Amino acid sequence: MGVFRSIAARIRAIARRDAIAGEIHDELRFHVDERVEQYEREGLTHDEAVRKARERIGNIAVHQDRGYDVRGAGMIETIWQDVRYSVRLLVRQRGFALVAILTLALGIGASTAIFSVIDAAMLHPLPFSHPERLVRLGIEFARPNGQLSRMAPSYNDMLSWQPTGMFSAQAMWKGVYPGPVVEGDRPDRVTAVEVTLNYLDVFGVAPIAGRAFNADDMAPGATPVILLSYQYWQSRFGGDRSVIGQPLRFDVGILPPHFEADTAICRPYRVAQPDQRGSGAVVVARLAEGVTNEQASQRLTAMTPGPVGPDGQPRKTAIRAESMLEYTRADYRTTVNILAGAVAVILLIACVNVSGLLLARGTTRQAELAVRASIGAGRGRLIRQLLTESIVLAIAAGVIGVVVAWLSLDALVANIPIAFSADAPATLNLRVLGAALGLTVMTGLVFGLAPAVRLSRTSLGAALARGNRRHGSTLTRRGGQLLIAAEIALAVVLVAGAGLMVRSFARVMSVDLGFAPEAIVTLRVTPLSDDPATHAQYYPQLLDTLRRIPGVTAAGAIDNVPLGGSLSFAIFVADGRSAGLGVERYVPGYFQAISLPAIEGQLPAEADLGSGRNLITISAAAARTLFPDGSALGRQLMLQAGQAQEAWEVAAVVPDVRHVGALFDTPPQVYLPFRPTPQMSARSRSMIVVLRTSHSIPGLADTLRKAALGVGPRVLVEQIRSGDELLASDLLRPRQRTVLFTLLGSLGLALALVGVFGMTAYAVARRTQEIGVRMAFGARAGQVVATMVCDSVWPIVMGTIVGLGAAALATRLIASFLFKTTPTDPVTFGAVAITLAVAGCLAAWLPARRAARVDPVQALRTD
Amino acid sequence: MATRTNSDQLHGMLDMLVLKTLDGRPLHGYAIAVRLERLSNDVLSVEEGSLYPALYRMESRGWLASSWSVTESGRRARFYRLTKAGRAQLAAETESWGRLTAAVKGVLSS
Repeated sequence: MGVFRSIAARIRAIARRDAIAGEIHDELRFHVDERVEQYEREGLTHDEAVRKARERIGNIAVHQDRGYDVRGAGMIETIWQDVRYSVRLLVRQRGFALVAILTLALGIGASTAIFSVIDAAMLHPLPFSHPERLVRLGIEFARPNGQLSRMAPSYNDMLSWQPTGMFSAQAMWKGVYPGPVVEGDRPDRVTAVEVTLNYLDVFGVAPIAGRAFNADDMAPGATPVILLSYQYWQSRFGGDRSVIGQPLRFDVGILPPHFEADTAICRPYRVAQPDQRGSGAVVVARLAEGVTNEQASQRLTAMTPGPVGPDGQPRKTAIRAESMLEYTRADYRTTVNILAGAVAVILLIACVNVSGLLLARGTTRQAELAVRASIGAGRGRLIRQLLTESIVLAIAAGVIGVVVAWLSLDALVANIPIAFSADAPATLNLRVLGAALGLTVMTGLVFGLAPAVRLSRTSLGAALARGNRRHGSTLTRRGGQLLIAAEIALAVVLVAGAGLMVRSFARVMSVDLGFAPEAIVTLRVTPLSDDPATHAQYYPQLLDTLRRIPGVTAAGAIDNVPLGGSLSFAIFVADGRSAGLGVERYVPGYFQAISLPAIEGQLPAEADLGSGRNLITISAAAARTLFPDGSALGRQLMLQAGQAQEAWEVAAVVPDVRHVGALFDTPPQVYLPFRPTPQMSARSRSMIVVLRTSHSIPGLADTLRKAALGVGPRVLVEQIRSGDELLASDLLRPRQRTVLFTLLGSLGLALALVGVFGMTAYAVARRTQEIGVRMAFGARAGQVVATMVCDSVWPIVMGTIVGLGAAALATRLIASFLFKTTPTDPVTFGAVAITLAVAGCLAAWLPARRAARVDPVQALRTD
Repeated sequence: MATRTNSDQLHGMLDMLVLKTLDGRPLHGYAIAVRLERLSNDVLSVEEGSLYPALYRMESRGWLASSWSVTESGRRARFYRLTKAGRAQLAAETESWGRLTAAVKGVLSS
């Protein structure tokens, strides 16, 4: 019989309880009747026979009970009884229940929320069938210096691998930068990828409407077609199926949700140079059934020629089939591990807390347990009852915890320093809820087991003799101190992590950028034209228009967004010295807009540049690097452009700025005037307009958009941002980490302090008599309170010391996240130690004050 | 504790005897009690207080099956019969009992 059927039978048996009891009654009744007949045959009178037979069979009710235990619902019903009893008990001890449940709910809530992050990032980052078969293929070869280098295979490489049977599908994938512009009432740039024929087959997905690409779509010159991502279809067309073939004219299908969700459209990748390796396209494949990564790698390596080195010899080459799951997880691993560790510590603190509370409460339970034992409950039975109580407690906490997780998930995800793919967002799905349930039950067992074992070891006589007196402590003074020390130590680790993050972030915030982002506004404006002359004329005109907007004090343009994380490089030669310098191209007005004065020389005006003179502005660091011997002004710089050289004359030196980002030391840098050419990529012909405003201008975004569109050619206006927004997005990850760690640290600290409070309160209650005696002998209230606090101070100090030691080991994990802060920063550790010690002593002092209010007469009378 | 007894062993012995009486034909509880007494020449007077719990326990373990039936005298009674698992259990217990008694005998006669 299956376990479930047997459980079902037992549950039915609860309803049949009377029927079972009736049957047992009938059976025993028959037995007694037979026995009576036997005794009568032996010569007894009827009454005597009946009395003797009944005596012999014993109490029928007891048999009914025992029989019911094995034949009826037995176990399940006693569990149900235990549960009802536990609930009644918790309702009666509301204060205890509230503290215990809330403590655990916070722990379980935090764990559940974090687990949903782990689920999304690590367990199911690729929501496709058999994601373990998905691989990225790369060519790995040794450089002459021995370093391993990787590049993407060519289209022909991919085709040559097709007959090996290693893969059920292969495809190439390439991001399109900048994204294409979708025309309409308001031109809109969208994110796009280009993919080869079998891309959808690799992931095992199919369009939910329309069709996938076919071989004809891939041919050069074929009618352009696109696939819309589900998200783009929803946001731009409101989920209207009739768009296929209609407004954009080219769409052939709509992709399912959770596939390319970060992209708007997919285009066919019509490979122009099928032999080119390292073209920026990625080869993805699905391994055929039963083929491992290693098998595929070996097979492909054996058949693929390596790239040819400068010596004309092919280099030693290996083809690597890298698991896409591993590839995706690699980015998240450190963060996720740290999160999991931190939340485990929080849960552990919660468990220690509740364990302590249960043990402390055990004093009042002991008499009751002794009575239960005396009427026949075995030790196993007592443990079961006590564990049932813990699990009831845990489940109440689990329910609240899941609600906490549900409420806090969005806020948490917003502060998780992980770039989630929209394909696999963190949600409270069934897997997470299942894990929460498992965690809840496990928690109940973890915090419940020690108290249950301890309490059930009740010595009957001793407990009953003690009656309700309070020294029948199940939590010794030493035990309570150990729990306090453990909690404080765990909290120290969390708070140290938080402290380091805060200190590191403070250092990040105090970085001198070299310019003040607060007063600037930036926007990307791109003329929708391929003619470089249009671009060249457009920006100065636009800037003139913008400068006339009231409140705009300066306007210029630059090719890389300030704090945007990107920078171009070029090689320059001066006086025989060559150096790689950061290169920015600007439209005059830029230096005024970010308020960067010339240290030396004069910033070239438009007229100077228009005259055809090659005037360059360089940063102070560039001046030091290239011209260490004296002033850079008027000196010549040669720009290496392929084989040719271009001569530039230094017109001005400006201060260094952290253009790339607050955390990046910007390299020596030069500024060239923006001179669009047909050779320049579309991206580098699109400029970022930078404005300086004297005050915040209401409706500025609309004004700017109107102005940009009003100047002349059709333009695309995007990414209107304030300087504050630029800074915020530059510091997003450090800020997220700081907020997250502070949150976890605070939670751990709060839980530990609740623990210290509870444990000390319990110690005071336990030692009421002793305190009474001391006071009767003349101890003053202050002394008594001091004694009680002292009892908790030692474990707090020990816990802090042990915690600092553990923190010194643990904070190494976050070393890579710290900015100019060592993982054992003494100032932070000192502050953490003081905070924990002071907060801990305060948490001990609050309940200890109660000792002062002990009335000696009252205390001694309880004896 | 000096008077400590191994209740498992007691259970085991009663179980074995009950299984043995049921070997061959189904019986009701009273008949089992009577038969045990008679077979052992009244040496083993079965505590009815432990007979029925033993029957229920063995039934829940699957060694016995029970059903209501009518006795020779025309009264309704619950009859127990050996299951396959019960027969195997009986064989196992008989064997281990045999070993035990042989060993005890050996000790006593030496």
